[in-house]
Amino acid sequence: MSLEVDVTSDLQAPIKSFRIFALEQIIRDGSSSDILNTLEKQQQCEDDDECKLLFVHAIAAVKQRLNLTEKVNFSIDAEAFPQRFVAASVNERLEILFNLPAALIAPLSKWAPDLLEKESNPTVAATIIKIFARRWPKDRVNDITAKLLSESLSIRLAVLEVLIQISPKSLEKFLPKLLISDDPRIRALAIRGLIELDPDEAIAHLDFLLASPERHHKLAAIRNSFFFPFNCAREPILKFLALEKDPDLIEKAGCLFEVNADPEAPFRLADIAQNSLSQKAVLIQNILQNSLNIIQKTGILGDKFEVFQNDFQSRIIKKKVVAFVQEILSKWGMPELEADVELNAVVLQAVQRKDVREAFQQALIWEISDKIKDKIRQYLQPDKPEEVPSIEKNLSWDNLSNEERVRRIAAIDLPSQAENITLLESLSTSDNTPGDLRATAIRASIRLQIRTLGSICERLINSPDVNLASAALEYLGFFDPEKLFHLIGKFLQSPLPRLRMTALRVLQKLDPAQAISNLKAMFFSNNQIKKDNAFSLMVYFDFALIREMLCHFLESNNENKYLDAALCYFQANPDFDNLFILYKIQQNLLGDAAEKVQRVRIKTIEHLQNLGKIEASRISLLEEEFSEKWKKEQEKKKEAIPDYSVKKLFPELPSLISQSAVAILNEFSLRYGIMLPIIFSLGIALFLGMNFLGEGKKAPVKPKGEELLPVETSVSGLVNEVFERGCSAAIQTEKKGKFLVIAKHGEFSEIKPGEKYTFTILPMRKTPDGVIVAYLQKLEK
Amino acid sequence: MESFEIKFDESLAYPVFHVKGYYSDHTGAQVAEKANQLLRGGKVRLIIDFTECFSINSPGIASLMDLGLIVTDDFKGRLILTGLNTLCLKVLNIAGIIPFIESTPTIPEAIKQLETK
Repeated sequence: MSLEVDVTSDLQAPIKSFRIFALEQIIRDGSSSDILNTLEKQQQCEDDDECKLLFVHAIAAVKQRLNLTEKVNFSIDAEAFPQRFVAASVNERLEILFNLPAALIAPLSKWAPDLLEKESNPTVAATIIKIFARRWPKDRVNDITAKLLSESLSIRLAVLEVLIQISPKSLEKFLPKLLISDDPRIRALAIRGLIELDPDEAIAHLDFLLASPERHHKLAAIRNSFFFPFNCAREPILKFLALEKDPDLIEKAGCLFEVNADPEAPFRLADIAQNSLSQKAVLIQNILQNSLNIIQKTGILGDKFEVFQNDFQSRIIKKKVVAFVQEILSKWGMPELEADVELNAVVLQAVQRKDVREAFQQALIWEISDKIKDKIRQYLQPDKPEEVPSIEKNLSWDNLSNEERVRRIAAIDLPSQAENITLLESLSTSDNTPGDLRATAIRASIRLQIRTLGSICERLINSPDVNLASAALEYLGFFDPEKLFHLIGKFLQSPLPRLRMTALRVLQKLDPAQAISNLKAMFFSNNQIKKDNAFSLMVYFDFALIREMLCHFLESNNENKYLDAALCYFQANPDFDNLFILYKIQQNLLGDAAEKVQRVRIKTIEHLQNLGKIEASRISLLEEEFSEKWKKEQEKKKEAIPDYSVKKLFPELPSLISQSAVAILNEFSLRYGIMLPIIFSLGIALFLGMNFLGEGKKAPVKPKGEELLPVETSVSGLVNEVFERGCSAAIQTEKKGKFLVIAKHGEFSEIKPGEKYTFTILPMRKTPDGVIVAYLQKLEK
Repeated sequence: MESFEIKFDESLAYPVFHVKGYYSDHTGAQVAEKANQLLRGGKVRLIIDFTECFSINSPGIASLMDLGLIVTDDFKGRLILTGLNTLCLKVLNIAGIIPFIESTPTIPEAIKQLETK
């Protein structure tokens, strides 16, 4: 990438700060006729006064470097400098500053604060700040800080960049305003300043900016993530990679793992690749390969890289096997699949493999129901009992019953013989094949990577035979999911869990962020069936993306069945980052429930130790480490939330988790054309049969924070402030205290601070500082 | 610590740092120390050659940014990066280091640029 490529795109950016950034770069370095042409062309389109002035100087600077104009020579007398500077025109002042000899910067810096104070032109003021920043008189730093809320964006940018370097602490009181700036560069720079003060909050803000729907916001966040300590940026960027669809942004964000050697990154990237559409999966695989390269080249693993690489490969395979086992357990919970011939045959074939048997064996120690455990034991027995049907291998195809044919086809899992491919193609394409056999053949074709059935499956997804339609949907979801984008709503409405599950898996790949929002909405819904459905669907999500959500969920949903199901997921996805989350869940519980969580935590530690991911010497320290961390978190919760925190600046975000089900699903239904009640009923049957969730008793729980009953009520009060383009407002009432009212559709964009309104609201939560967070139902003057 | 090596060459028209291995904060600190000596001695046009450097990590990027600011803002000098591989070039562009700091493919091109501009 050259300067020309970057500036051309930045000069055309709709975001003003990107244009300012490009113009400043050109003033500093631009020297080609191409840049000059671009500038002259873009100058005509510019309508912002600050940028217009910068265009003039940028063109003059480039012309000078191209020798198209004479270079101005300055001889500056230090003592006469202030007078000469003040008397000069705007253009001359800029020329003086850009051409100031280095040797004069230190002696002249004593004048800088006064010159800044007198300066009326924002471009010149910003240049004064930048030129003298490092030599700025220490007793006059406040002169710069005061400009942080200047109307001029150039000045705000210059001040921020300078203060991050010379005095990040002085930013604190300005951060709340800067962090909600509409300009992504201001916000990103403010986040960089915040990292010096409060790394946890800076991470939360980076995460929030990365989740913005605006491309330029994401771009600014990615750019700044390279200036974060790597350990702080890695989690938000991994999450971003999992959810983002824009290939260019994925490639840019992925660079973080291509230049920073992190032995944990390849594992996470492999998970992301596995849950992505083919085009994105290729991008992530490239990032993964480069992340392995950097680990090798830096030599951080000493002579153990080869061992690491082998371990990586085997763990990836093992993880796939565990995911397969989890899926089987979930299907066994569905009444309609309990005695499914194909499913039984698939499991029978799979348990021939040692790694699958080991994974089932491992699942026996998960917190799953005894019924499911018995079923696992049946399949693991050398002599299977009668209820587990066997696969007939000796008879010829022609002599097999249809059911036996289904079993034989379901048992094919390797393209070892060419005739398998021919047989599967023939069974899948022929309309004379019985529906269940044809569906089995299509699913076997997925396993064997037979890609020739696209057009036939496009036709079969409309088949009245739901098993066949489900297989066709699965096939297209695997090889050509984009074709399903506009059809997905229809399949999510299907009364059959199998079809709905396949549709959700496809959605997870098509639009992971939307799928996770959907899952969140289901988790934090007040409807128990929706919560139950969320658990059954979790099997199709990258666990790292949803474990924190699960932890929050368990804080307020303490039934044993949820705890057991959650623990099952933690056990199936053992990871170091699970440990503290489990510790937190444990602290919230008492008695047997707490002990159960502790058992899972101990088992996870043992497992990680066997994998060499925790050294024995660290294990004894972990308890103390977590205890300290947890205490700090609790103390932090008691303290007033800082004004710069994400929670305070974007209050709708955390509370949205619990109350936004309707909003999220409204958006979801608009995008995918589904009725809400239908989404809410997703997977009811699936869950009802999901025995491994266990009984519905409540686990004893420690007291938690204040939540309010969501009962519609009416309040009148003065509007103090309106936030986020009318999406929320701070209200002061006479008798009922302060409210933060969230309007889902920007209904507050027209209301005026200082005026009195009546609000019909749905109260949700009282914050530690007594503010009631509520959702707007109706607004009246 | 990741392996790296820095060789300093004063035989050309402008001082050149040859970086080999991984450019991290440790590498950046050593380059900055020597660069500061040169800057204070009046040599304000510097070249860092990355031909044998396979990658620049996040702290390395931040240290390059700091050095760029010192050279250009404090000393009104010029810093040119040369021999950057595709990955380094890409990451420095994303982070906004380039075009803030200039880059050329080779050392002779950097010297030419320092002489002509």
